[in-house]
Amino acid sequence: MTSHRRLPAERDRAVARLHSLTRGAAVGGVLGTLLFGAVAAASYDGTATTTTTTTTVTSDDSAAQVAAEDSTTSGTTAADDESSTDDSQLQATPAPTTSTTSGAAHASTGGS
Amino acid sequence: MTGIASAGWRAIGTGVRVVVHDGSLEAARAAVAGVLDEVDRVMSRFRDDSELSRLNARSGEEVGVSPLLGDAIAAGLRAARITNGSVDPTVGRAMRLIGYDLDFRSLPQDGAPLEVRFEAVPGWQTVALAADRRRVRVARGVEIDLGSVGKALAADLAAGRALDATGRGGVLISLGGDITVAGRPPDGDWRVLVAEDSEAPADGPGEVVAIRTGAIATSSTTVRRWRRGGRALHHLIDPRTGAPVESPWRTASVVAATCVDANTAATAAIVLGDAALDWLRSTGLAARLVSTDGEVVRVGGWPEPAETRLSPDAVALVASGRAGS
Repeated sequence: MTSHRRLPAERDRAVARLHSLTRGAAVGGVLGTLLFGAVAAASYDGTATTTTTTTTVTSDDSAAQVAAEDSTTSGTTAADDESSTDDSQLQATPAPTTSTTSGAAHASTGGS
Repeated sequence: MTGIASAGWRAIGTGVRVVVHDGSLEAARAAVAGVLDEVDRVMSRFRDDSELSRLNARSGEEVGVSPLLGDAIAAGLRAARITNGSVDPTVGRAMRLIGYDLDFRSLPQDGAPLEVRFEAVPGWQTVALAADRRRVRVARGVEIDLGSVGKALAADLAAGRALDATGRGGVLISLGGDITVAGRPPDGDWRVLVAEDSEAPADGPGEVVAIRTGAIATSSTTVRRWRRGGRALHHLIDPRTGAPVESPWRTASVVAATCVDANTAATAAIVLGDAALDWLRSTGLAARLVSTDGEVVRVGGWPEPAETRLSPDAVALVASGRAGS
């Protein structure tokens, strides 16, 4: 049985190669982290902030005033609030029937 | 206690009626009073210290709101979206400009002339509500009014709380004719007189319908009317013009699963005018409209009144001209 012993020069080259690989892995990791962060920042809104830009208009022209304002509020806005249950349509219930019971009604509906 | 018991009083500027079937009237009444106290503190446009007044005073800022105000604004925005803006919560300023800036009973019934330049209301898109309904931003100069939807929401909330309080049976809650029922109805269901004015006595003459579940609401231009400089005004604002709506319909009553939805549809019907019938049919809701000349039109399965219903045989007899012969 024979044993293989490296020469000192061979050992030094192997150690240098190992150091090179380690540095490469470290640099690659840092670059990967930076790249991932950049992609994430570009594609995900994160927490929105409130910004308001208002132009000066006369106080009796609220429609124009509102149109001139550009507001962004965190979360959803009036235009896309979908938080109510079955938000998109009015909910029906069985139609009323003609009362067949004699006596006074329990209540009156009408304008108020 | 079994049977029917009722109580009535005034709150939030309108008549309140609580009817209990097989339950504790006192418990229901206390629950409803609690809801209405909260509604008044939060939603009143006539109290400077209400949460809504404070929100309107801070237009242009993002403001934290209570769960009730957040829910009410959400309901108003949903109503606006579903009706394509026919019902709009940003009519507050328009209401104020036509003189409706006090509780109605305090308004002068024939006041001095107004100089008003009517214009479209800012529109519901100018209100930003966070998804959790706890933060609101109203665009600068915009004033929210939750009068219509707010009262209906109060009826829905009050009915739920009253039923919880009674623990059994069923309840009917009427806030100025915006009616929600909950729980077990009495024999023959809940009977409701359909009138022009919600203060019509329930035992008075007129068309009576019965409902088992859900809600019924009526909007009308025949009440809450006042005059300024000889011109008649009322409280139903057309968001497109900012002025009291001019409609071929004077009264609309609608039945829906909730009072908010019934009220939304009834108000939209008045504002939509000639387009109301097709729109109501598209919703599938039962509705009864009264034109300005008194003609009654029913859609969506709203029943004919008992006294005018004829059997198929009687209809055939009348059609053949042999009636009375």
